[in-house]
Amino acid sequence: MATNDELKQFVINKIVKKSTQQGLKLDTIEDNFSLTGSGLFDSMDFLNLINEVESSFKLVVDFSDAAPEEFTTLGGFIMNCK
Amino acid sequence: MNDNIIQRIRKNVEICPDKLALEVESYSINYFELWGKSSKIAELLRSFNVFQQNVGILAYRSLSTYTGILGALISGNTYLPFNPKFPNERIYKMIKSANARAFIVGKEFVPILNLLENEINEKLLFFAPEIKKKDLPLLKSKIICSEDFENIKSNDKISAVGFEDIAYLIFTSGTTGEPKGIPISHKNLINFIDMNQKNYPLSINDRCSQAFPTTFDCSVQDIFATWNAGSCLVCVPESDLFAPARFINEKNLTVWYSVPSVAMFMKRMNILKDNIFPSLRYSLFCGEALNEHIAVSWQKAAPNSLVVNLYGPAENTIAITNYTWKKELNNSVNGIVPLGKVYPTHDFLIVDDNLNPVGNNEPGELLISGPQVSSGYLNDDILTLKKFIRLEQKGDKVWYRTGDLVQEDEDDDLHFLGRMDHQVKIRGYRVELEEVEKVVREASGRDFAVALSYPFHNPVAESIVVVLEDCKFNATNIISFCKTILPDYMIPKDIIAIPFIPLNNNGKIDKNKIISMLKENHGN
Repeated sequence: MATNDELKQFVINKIVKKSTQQGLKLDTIEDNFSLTGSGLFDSMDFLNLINEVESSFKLVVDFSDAAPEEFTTLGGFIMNCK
Repeated sequence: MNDNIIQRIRKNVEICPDKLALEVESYSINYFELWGKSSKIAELLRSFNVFQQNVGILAYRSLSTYTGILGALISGNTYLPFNPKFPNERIYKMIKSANARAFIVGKEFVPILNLLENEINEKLLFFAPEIKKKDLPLLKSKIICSEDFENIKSNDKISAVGFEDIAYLIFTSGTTGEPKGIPISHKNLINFIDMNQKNYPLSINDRCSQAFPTTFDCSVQDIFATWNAGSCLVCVPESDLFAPARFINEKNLTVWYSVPSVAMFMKRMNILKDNIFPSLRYSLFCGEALNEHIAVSWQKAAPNSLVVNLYGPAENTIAITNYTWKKELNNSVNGIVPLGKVYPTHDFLIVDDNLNPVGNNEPGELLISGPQVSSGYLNDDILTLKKFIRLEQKGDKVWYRTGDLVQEDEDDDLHFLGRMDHQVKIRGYRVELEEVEKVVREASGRDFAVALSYPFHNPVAESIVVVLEDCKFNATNIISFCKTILPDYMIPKDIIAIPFIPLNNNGKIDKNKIISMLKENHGN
């Protein structure tokens, strides 16, 4: 079972990779960092991130109890990975 | 068809003035208030002699968006919607193409007013009904702010418009690299509204979603099918569009209308649970192919709702076929829900490359003729003549060539098989791959750029990739350039290098060969 820290590091690595691809430099990535609102992830990227997290950590992501503004942030995304 | 859509709405103001007409941001306004605010905008437009012009709606998902649209129509003008997510360059091109000089402004567009004024380099008219003077920039153009609106009295006046006058102007991707304007008349619009109300009747108790961006023509159905029936239009905030399950329930919506991608996202995020949407009675999908597995999941999530697939090019006014999905009919082809039947108010033909009708149940291009067919493209007679044709054996009727490859089954339902050209749909938006290629050629300085929909050979495209010869280019810079010209759904996901651009026997670029090369080198 992956710890929240491992999951978080995995997602942060993806964020950094995306920002590098887009020629952006991020100073800090806090829990309230918006994955979709930042412009780094569009809806398809977000689904791909779910796929990668599920297959890498053998878990199911379930956002049925969360609000979009919550689960699209770094912290909210990690919290809803069950 | 005696009344136009504005006269219909005006009647509803008389019939049910206290009934909620619109919920947007923190506003909930009834029909009387909606008309009051909109008629003030109309009165001010008239006072500046703005009549039978294209009025730009520089507002998005805010109160001014809806009162602006209605105000423009009440005053006998055409409305032209904009999206703040579009690059400024695209907005300028649309304004110049439509020769728009009067604009309704919401706070969403205030940051670009100075730039816009400088770019157009003419005196413009800005009407900002919800913005105070202190919150507006200093401009050379005339600007009417919220304080000015306070002195205007609302009234019942509706400027005279004919059924052939243009109600709205919508822009889509164009093959030449320029956005393409499609004017839709009051006749086109009211015919669609009547057909929609006949097929899926709304009542004053309905609460209908407004999820589509106003630059997407399905938003016209959201707005005017709702107000035509005296129902309430509920604007979905940007933050909830991604996964609107909570919004649908909190707002007690009875009608949901979106591209199928929204349902697909919710299914993938495990949000689409059984009976999660008990309040819905109509679930309408349009804009792209509806996968059967999405229809199945949505039907389980909304057991009290009809699940409907609508189809139609913007040139045919929103939708021209409908299909109410039922699992037991088991009528899908390649896992895609049928388009259904063409509206009985229209004629259709399925033709081969020589425009001759194909045999029974054979595939061919769909041609449509009837009262929802637009008169042609804005400022483009050549393209109009190419796409809006007359057939010798069919008299004077004008037929719109949809470019969609379809097949009719034994039950007279149409099935979508693919496109005849290089147009793809990304989240419901039409994208001409040539337009993307043109911008990438410009950015890279190359003679050849090949845009492909991704995943390859999938009927539902998710994104676009562009292929260039050799590898001496900076993909990040090219994509950054694209962002300044193209809307987000048209921006390539990746720029991929291949050793050479293969040509087929006719000397044309061999896209299938390119896809094979990519699969060999990069996997799927």
